[in-house]
Amino acid sequence: MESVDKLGPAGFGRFLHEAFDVVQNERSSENVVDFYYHVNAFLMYATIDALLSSMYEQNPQDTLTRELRDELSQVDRILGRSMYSFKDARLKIEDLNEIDAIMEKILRKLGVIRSGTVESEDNNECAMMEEELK
Amino acid sequence: MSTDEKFKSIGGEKFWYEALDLTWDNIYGEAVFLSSLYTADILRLYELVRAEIDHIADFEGVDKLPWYSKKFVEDWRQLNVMEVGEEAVRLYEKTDGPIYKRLAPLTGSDDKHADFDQILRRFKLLVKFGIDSGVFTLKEKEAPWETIVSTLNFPINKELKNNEAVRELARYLKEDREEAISNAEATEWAVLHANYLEGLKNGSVTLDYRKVIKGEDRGSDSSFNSFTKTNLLRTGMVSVLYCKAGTGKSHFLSWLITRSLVSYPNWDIYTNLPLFWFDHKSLEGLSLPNVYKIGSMSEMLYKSALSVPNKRQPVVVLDEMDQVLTSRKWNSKENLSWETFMNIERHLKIRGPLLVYHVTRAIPEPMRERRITEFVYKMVVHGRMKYLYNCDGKQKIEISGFAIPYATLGTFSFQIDVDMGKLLRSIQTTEINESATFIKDHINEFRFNLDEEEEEEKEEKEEEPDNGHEIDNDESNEEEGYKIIFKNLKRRGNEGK
Repeated sequence: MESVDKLGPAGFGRFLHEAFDVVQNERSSENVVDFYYHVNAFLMYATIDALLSSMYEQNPQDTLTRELRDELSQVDRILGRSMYSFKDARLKIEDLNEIDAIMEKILRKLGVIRSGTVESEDNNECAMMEEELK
Repeated sequence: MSTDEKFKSIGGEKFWYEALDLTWDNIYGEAVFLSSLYTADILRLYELVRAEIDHIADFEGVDKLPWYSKKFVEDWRQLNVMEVGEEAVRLYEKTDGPIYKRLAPLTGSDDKHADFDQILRRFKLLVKFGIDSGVFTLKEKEAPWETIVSTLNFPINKELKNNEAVRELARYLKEDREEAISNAEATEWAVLHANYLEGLKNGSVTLDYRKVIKGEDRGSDSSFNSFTKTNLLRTGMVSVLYCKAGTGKSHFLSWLITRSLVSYPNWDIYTNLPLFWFDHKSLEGLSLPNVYKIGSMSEMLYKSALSVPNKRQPVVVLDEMDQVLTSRKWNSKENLSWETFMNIERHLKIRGPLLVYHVTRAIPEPMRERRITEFVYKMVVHGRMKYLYNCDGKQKIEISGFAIPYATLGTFSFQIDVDMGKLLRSIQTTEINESATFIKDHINEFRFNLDEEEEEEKEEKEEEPDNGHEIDNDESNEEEGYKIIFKNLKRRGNEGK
């Protein structure tokens, strides 16, 4: 069967989605500690940075890419220094919360995290069929 | 072959994702408490990237590298320059070769360790290589929905509208559809039918299926023909089509028969679809070759058995299965009955039957739950277009174009009137011609008498008291009450067997 490119939560998108879930879970389970190791947030940041750098280099004029890069640069502004300058992975919980919010915003704009239904009308017909036959 | 293509032919995405996962886990595992990490944490991903660069750089030269590899080599060098300065990197390269071949930072006391920030910076460049090269992509490969559209062509002779049978057919069509069709439309349909029939007889009907993806014509496609043979009308397998009333299920059957006669001239199609010439002698001249009326399971088996010695393929399509009249004995063991039925039809290599329902609840449970067939399909109307959905194949078949005329009123009911278990036990051969001969000669011996059953049922109802299962407390009625209970129990027992 012929295939076409479709933006969606598979491949690298799925990887990012799952990684972000881990970041979120880690934050909710460890937010009692004010200053702690949050390695996943660093790795997530580096991954998003790699993605946006790649997108920017391939199309520097793209408005969305420029907007997302601006969003990501907010992280360094919040911390007062580069994420790559940390000698270990410890972050203050309030900084982590803000960083996570920025990363979530970027992932949503990229379409990696989506809320609501993402199924096409045709997929819906098939899902409905299963329901109807029950 | 370009270098880009060469890259894509090596390895698989799976290894890259595994390496990415492993790298992430390794870094997490150490950095969660430490600031000095092992370079081995990112080794797997680095090795993949390096192998991609080396296999071209070493054998064909750096100039032949694709842009993303050149970019990585440049960025990796830049990173080292940022960490230790241009002079130190140049010195290293003078004696040891390109710096991209070195994983560990030049700052470390050994090659095995790196600081958290150094690892993170390298991790970013490795991931970026994966993204630049297209291995890590947000664009997933997903099969799109395909629409299959058919084009049926045959020569048109407008003179046929003066043919008496054609005029008669137009009259019946108008009578049947009343206000839903104009006289001119009825005449046009009848004329088209006569032309189609002429075309069938002289082999001038052409049928082409085309695949359309997102509105774009992708050319000729034969998948509907294989779908028909392997799913919709598979040999010895029941398939089910359902759709809401008014969706056009009878129209679909008519459409399907119209096309099947072109694609499969060796098929004998048995149906209960109300085709006008089944009932009107005056339309005999317009009747389709190889399409026959059936009204019961026994008739279906008998007529299919007639196709076999003529080396023709019996095919069964049945409309209005919601209205089917079924023997009580069949219903009591529905699952087994259908399975046995399919074993019998395999003796005759019958295709189908394709059963059409408009109420999902009317679909026998063994089929609805896909216990005896996986081929359950639905029809849907989107706007003015009708589609048959093949969900597993992500295909929808557009039901458009000419279809033979059929009546919307006076559907022929279908009776399930054969004791399948008894018949199957009696067929003592697997040879198709012998099976056909046996069924042709003996089918009447295995028929349920549905009229008799109906009478029995009426009598039983009359015997039952008005208040159902309640027993009158009056002593004189007590014995009668027990008799009724006993009879009911006995009947249920028989049904459960």
